[in-house]
Amino acid sequence: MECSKCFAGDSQVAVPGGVKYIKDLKVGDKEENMPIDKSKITKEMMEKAEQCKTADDLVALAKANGITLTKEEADAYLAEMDNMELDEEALDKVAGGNSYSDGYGDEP
Amino acid sequence: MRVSTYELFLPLTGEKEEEIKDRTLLLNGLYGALDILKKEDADKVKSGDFDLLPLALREKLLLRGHITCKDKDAELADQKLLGRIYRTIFARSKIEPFIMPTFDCNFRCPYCFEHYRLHHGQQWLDQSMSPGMIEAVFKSLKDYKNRGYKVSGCTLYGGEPLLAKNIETVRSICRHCKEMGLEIKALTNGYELESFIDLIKEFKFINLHITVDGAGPVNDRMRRHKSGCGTYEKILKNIELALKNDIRVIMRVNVNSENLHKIKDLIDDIKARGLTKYKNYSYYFKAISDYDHPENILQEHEIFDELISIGFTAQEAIEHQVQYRGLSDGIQKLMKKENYPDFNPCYCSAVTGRIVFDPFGNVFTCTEIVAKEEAAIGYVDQERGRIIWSFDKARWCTRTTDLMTSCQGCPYAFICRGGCAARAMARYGSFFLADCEEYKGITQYVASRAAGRAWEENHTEELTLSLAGPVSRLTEKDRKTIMETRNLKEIMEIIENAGFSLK
Repeated sequence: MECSKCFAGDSQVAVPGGVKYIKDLKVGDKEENMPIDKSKITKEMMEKAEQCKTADDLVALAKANGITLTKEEADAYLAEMDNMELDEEALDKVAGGNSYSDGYGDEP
Repeated sequence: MRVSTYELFLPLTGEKEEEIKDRTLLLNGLYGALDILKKEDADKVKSGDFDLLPLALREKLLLRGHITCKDKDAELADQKLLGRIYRTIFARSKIEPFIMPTFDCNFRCPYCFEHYRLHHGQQWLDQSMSPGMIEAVFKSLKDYKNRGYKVSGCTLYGGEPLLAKNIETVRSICRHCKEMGLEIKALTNGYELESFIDLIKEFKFINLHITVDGAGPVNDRMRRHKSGCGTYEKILKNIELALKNDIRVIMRVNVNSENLHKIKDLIDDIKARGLTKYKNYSYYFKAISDYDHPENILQEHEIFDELISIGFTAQEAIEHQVQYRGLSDGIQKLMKKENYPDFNPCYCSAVTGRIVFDPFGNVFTCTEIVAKEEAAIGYVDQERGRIIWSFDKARWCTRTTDLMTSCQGCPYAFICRGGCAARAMARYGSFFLADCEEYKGITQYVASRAAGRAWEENHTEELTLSLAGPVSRLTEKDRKTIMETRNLKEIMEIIENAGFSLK
C-alpha cells in the first residue's frame, strides 16, 4: 500500500519562477502557491505599474511590494496594458491560430 | 544527427479499426509535422540507423524536423521561441467575456463546483448584477475594443443565468452586447427557458448549452431542483421548444461514475423524442470536474470506452466526446494544409483572453473557480470603467508549456498544453502545474485514426505542413528580437519574412 502522506519524486511543486519536481527540491526552496490577496490590487499600484516602461521596472515594483514576478510574468502584465497593434486580418495571415484544438477546456 | 526530442511514433488505424501494419505515423509535436512512413523505414529512424535510409527520405525527414542536427537545448530554444510568439501575439489578441448575471441557481446539483456560494444564503444569492455594474463591465470591454483587441462573443454564465426573475438584468446585458456587436450564447440548465424564448430570438443567441445528465430519474438525481422536484421532463420540453424556434441547442452531458453506464438510456430517449432529427441540435459528453468528490471523477477515456461499448463507432465516439473531438477537428484542419501548424502553448482560454465577470465585478479567468472569491485576479473599477488586474493575471498569462519546466522538451507540449489548471489545482494544489497525462492517450488514439483514414483514402505520406522550415529561416538576430521585444508589429514582420504564412 502506498503512503498517502508521501509524494512521488516526479510530483511537481510550484516555486518562484516555475515548477520543480519534488526530487529536485533543495532545502530552502520556497513553495509558491500564489495566494491571491485582493488587498494587493490597488489603484495606486496599478497606476504605478502602468508607468513602468520595462519588465525590469515592474519586477522591481512588485518586489518592493513583496511580490515575486519573473521577467516573463512582468512582460505579460505589461502587455495587458499595451494596445493591440495588429488587426484581425494581419493575425489571420500567419501560423499560430491554426490549432490542433481550439476547444481544450472550452465549450465547443 | 538524432531523432527529435519531440518525436512520436504511432501505429496507423484504419476505418475498420484494423491496424495498418506496414506503415507508421511520425508526429513531431514541436513543428506539427505528420508523416506516414513504411514501417521498416520508421524502425530505422527510431533506432537511429539514418545511414540505412534512402537519401531523399533522410533529407525530407531532416527538413520536416523529425530528425535533427540540433541538440536538445537548441530544440528547446525553438519551443521557447514559438511559445513566446504565441503568448505575445495570438494569446492576447482576443477577449472572451463570460458574464454572470447572478450566482443564484434554481438547481442544487450534488457535483456543482460553485456550491460554496450557496452557503451565503438566499438573500445574498438574490442579488443580480446591478445596472451600474453592467455599464462598467461593458465600458471595460469597450476599453479593450478601443485599444485594438477583438472582443468575441459574450457567454452568459452563472449560477443559472436564465432565471425568470432576472430577465430584465439579462435583457440589459443583451442590449449592451448588441450595441457592441457581440454574439451571445448561454450556458444554462434550461429549466426556466420558456420565459426567455422571445428574448433569445430577439437578440439572436448563437447557441444554448443545456446540461442533461441522464434519462428521467438519473437526471433528476444529478440535476436536482432546489425544491426537490424532478427536472428532466421540463428541461427536455424546453429543449424541444427552443429547437422549434430555430434556436441552436448543444446538449452537454456531464458524466461521473454515477451515470456512466446510463448513457445509453439517455441517447435512446432523446432519439425516441425526435431531438436528433433537428439540424440545430447536437450533444456531447464530458467528465465532471467534481473535485470535492474525487472518487466520482472519471477520465475522459472511460466515457469514450463506454460509448464504444454501447455501439458507437470510433468516429461517432470521437464526435461526441468533447476532448477527443477537439483534437480530431484540429488534426483534420492541419491535414488540409491551408496553413502551417499551430504552436499553441495555452491549454484553454483561461490562459488567453477569457474574462469572467461575476455579479459584483470581480474578475476571474477560469469558469470552474468562480465560487472561490480568493481566486479572483482583478475587479472592474466602476469609476474608470477598466479592469484592475492583480499581478496574478500575469501568472495565468504565463501558464504556458514553453515556460512550465515539466513541459519543456515534451512532444505533447503544443498539443496537451499543460492540461486543465483547475484540475491541477485540485490534484497538486496549484493552478500552475501541469495535469496532462490523459491527453497523451487521447492524442495517440485520435492521431492514429485520423492519419490511418487519410492513408486509406489517398495514400498521402506528407499529411501536414511543418514549421521546421520557417523556424530555420529565423536569424540569431531575429530570435533575440522575438525573445525581448513587446512590439507586436516587429515580431509579426520577422515571422512573416521567415515564411510563417501561406496567405
